[in-house]
Amino acid sequence: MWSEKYRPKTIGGMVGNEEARLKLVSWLEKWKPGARAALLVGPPGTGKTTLVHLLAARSGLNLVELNASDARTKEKLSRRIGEVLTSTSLMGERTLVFLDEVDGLSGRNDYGAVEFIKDSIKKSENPIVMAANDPDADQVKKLGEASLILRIRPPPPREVQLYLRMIADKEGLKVDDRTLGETVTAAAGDIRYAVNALQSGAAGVKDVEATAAQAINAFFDAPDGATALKALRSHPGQPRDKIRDLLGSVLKARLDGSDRAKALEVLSRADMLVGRMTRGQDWRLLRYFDSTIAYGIKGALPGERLAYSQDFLPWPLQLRVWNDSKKVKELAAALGPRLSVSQKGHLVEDFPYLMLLCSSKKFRDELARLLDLEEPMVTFLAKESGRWKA
Amino acid sequence: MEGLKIVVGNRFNLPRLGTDVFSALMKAGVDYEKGGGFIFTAETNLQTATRTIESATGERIELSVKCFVCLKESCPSCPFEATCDRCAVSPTCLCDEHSAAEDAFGMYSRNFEARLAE
Repeated sequence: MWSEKYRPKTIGGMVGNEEARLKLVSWLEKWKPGARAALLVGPPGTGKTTLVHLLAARSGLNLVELNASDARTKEKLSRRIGEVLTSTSLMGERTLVFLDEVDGLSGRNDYGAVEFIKDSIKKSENPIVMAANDPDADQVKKLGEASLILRIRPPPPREVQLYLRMIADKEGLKVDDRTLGETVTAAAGDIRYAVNALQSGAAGVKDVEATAAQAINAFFDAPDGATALKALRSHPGQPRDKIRDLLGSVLKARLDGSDRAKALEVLSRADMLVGRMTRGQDWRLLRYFDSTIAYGIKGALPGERLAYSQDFLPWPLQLRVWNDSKKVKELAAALGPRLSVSQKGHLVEDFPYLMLLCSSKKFRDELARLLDLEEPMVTFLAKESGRWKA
Repeated sequence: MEGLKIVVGNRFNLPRLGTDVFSALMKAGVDYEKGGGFIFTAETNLQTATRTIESATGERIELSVKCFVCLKESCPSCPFEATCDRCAVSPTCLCDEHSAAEDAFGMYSRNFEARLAE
């Protein structure tokens, strides 16, 4: 995949957030025990994790990484990173401690997670970098008191275009500025999306579909897991495309209920793997993806002859679903904390009722004022609530 | 509504708008220097800051950013001028010359590395 092939190898190989990148490097170069931590604040997918990985590589530091929402209390944090904060290696080498998603720490004072980190920043023998999505979260404000706060934003479209042009040139791809510009605009600052779109465009959708069908058919025809694995690796798409193609085929096939459940279980595990991979930017997990599916499906459906079936939404509709779901998630991220429920909880429990309430313009306006919503979001609410009402 | 142009990284002056507005701007990360005026930086919450100024002055803010390589203002002739949300994206970009140059990405990266070495 080009998004992996052209993943920046150095901090200078990234685009966007130039000042923040320069300041972060300078912060680490000047860092001494007891100095401030660094706190990167910005929306998901803007390169915070990549930046920290490249920073550690540039400085020759080991990197210890923890997703703070997996260790939300003082006790858990202390158990996971207590030792690394207060020690250096025998050779005196330092470690860069990276706490991701600190806005996911428990907000309750009695759990003490935020105070533990603030205290650790003062005592730590190793530099600490934190990352958060929500600049207005209480945890971010408190940790910001002891940190150099750096805002990380999506790169401007022209810099995304610059990146795509560099890839196109290296791949010998002839693409005009207009097409490149359309890809950049559709990506809305998401470089990974832009690079994937460029690659899909380069492959030509028709060819991709034909090859995907061949790969999936070869996968189902394979007599064993090893052959199936080889077939799956020949699939031209990305992990989610493979899941989508297999899901369509499994759903369309005439299968016994329990066999179908077993196959769907395998695809579900693979989907969770992709989720973990993208959330944690842990692309090493990619190596387990194909084998999880190949051996899983072959084990679940021995001897079953399935065939490729493109039983999925057309691309324009998928794009709409993708765009709308981004807005729904944004809304849930803003409303969930105010209602003291998780983002997911809000989506599952409250969202249908919210949509019904939003069919009233008065309610919508009040919500927009309360959450400081932008015009596109208000328009989305009006449209979406109209559909729910209907 | 009149327009007021603000270039991120350049100082600008505002009429006296009262302590509440001043305090809101400081909270949004706007820098101020007596005699020099206000300045939007990379740490400024551009959305909040522009909204605060717009509602206090009644003027529409036209936000513009500079080229990272040559520090010239880069927005006016940009092909993405109409679609770029300048309050949301990172506040430096590239001008026509430095985005269209041969090996533009290499030039951009080398420039970054040079600044890093300073």
